[in-house]
Amino acid sequence: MLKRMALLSAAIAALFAAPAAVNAEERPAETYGMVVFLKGSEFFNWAYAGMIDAAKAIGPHVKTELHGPAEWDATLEARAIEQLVAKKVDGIIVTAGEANTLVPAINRAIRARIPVITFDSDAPASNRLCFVGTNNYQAGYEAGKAMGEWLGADARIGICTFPGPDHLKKRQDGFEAGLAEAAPGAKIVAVVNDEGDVAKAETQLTAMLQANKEINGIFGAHGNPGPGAAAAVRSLGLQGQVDIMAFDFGGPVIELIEKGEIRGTVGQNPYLMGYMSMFLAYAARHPTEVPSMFKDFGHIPTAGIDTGVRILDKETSAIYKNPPRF
Amino acid sequence: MPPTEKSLLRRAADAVGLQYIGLILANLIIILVMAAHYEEFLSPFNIEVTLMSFLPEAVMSLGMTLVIITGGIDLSISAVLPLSAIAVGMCMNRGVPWGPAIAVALAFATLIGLINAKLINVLRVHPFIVTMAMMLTLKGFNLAVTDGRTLAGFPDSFQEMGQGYLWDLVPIPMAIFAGLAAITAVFLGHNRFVRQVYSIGGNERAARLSGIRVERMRYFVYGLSSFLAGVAGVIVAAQYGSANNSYGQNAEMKVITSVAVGGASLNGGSGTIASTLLGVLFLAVVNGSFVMTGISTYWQDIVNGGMLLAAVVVGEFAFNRRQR
Repeated sequence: MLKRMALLSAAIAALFAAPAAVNAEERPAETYGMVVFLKGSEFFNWAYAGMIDAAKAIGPHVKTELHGPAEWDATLEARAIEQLVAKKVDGIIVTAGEANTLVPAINRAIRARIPVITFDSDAPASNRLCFVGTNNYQAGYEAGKAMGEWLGADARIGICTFPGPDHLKKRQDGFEAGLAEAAPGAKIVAVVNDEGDVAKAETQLTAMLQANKEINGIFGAHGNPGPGAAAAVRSLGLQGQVDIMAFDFGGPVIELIEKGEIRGTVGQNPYLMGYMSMFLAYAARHPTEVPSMFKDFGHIPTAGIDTGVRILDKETSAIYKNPPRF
Repeated sequence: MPPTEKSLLRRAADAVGLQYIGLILANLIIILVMAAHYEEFLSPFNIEVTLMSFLPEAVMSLGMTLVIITGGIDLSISAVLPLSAIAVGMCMNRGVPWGPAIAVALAFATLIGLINAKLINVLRVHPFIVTMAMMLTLKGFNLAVTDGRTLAGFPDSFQEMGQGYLWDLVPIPMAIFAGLAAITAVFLGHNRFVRQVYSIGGNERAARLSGIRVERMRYFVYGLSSFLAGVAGVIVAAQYGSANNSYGQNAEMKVITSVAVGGASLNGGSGTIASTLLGVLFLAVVNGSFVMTGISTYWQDIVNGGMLLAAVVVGEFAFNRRQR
């Protein structure tokens, strides 16, 4: 009797185990690589966290890896892509440190039938399949609109940015449009060049505030000027008189928002960028029986995906206080 | 040659030989272990990508070997590389055919090396300071002339030089590198003038007393180092079809590490092109292994730094033994 029961339970166990075994057989391991141009930055860690969570949602057979240089050199990023192609990964998600430099490497991946999705910073001249990121004009527009609502027609704004990158130009254009719409009569008094550096931002903004006493708002068009602007305002004793709108939510920015030195920041959604990119790469890797618009790849949008922004303040920025680490 | 100098040279050669064998073994072990676990590791494409991933550094390491043998150092190469890429790009974007454009870029690059040598000779300041100052100045210059923008849209025939293959097999940049390496190795091994670098690095005062024109030699080695950084810049511009001031970040550290890991003493007086190439191969293989295994590349910097430290310790040990 005992023997029979043991046999029966073994049969039941085998019945349950069989589909699992078939499942594992049907879904061989897949590896997807994310390539970033400043490995270790909080922003890209959020994106990678999104990628990991999306991979988990797809299934345990999907593994992810994070690659890319810790210094800003687009050629090193291109090399990382080529190495992943040689490794025959199943998909690559990349943010282009410099759009043109990555074109040959991305095209090589596509020729090897490895889907490439760009996120955050696009390489439009390449054959990448889709871009997931922030519409920079819209992000600037939202910032301009919010500052217009804060300060009204009396708004006298100084912008801190640096020349060159296309996305910064778009943010500035969007900002001007948003400000003009929310507060007709508001003016942009000065635009300073911080060369992308937080210390330079402080020096430039200190000089700007001294030369233009009427300025009552500062917009930092990228991640660095926010803390620089707060330091400049503090050193001139202008707290409470100048409202600062920063960009992104690095640790220092959130701390300064909590202290009340920065009023708000344009929060992009890097987590969602990584999350959506992973799903798109997976979908592209798995064509269905219906032919897609991309030869050799599955169904994904032919148009870029805007992950949107939100103006974060004291209450809404707290969730981003503890960035993921890898 | 006096007998003492001969035995000194022999002992130095012994020390280099030991490191040489060690490095060949280290490379072989990593390659075999990786190949046993990852079938893609020895695929022709992965071999090509692994070697190509360190090609600009490999080109620059040829010149750096000579500089380090003289007891000097050249930190400016990481800024000369983008300078050369930008120069060739700017010329082509202004309608200059790519041949003359390359000539202009290489002339610019060489000029930087000659200025480095002139400053070291005149100011009698350590090459570290002079070339670091040059690196910072050039980085600013590269940013200023491009405004941070990328130059692109180069002719296909130019890009072919960076992306094409010889006989559908050997990437053209690799063939260029092989040619340069062979020439440098032959001259360093057999040419009396070039071999004077060993005497300068071994004992500059003695070299001077024996009639070697140390200052003139500096123009040669720093000029060559810069010229080769210029070649690396042109190759990178052709490889990626673009030029940007960000190219070559920290390349000088990888190049110095390759030369030191290869067994050249940072005190000068020893080193060969073959051992430097083994050093470059080692860094490339380590880098390729990290990507293949998916281990965080942060650890790679720790390995590279550790290797540099180990190479310096071994080099010092050999140097002290030679001094005894």
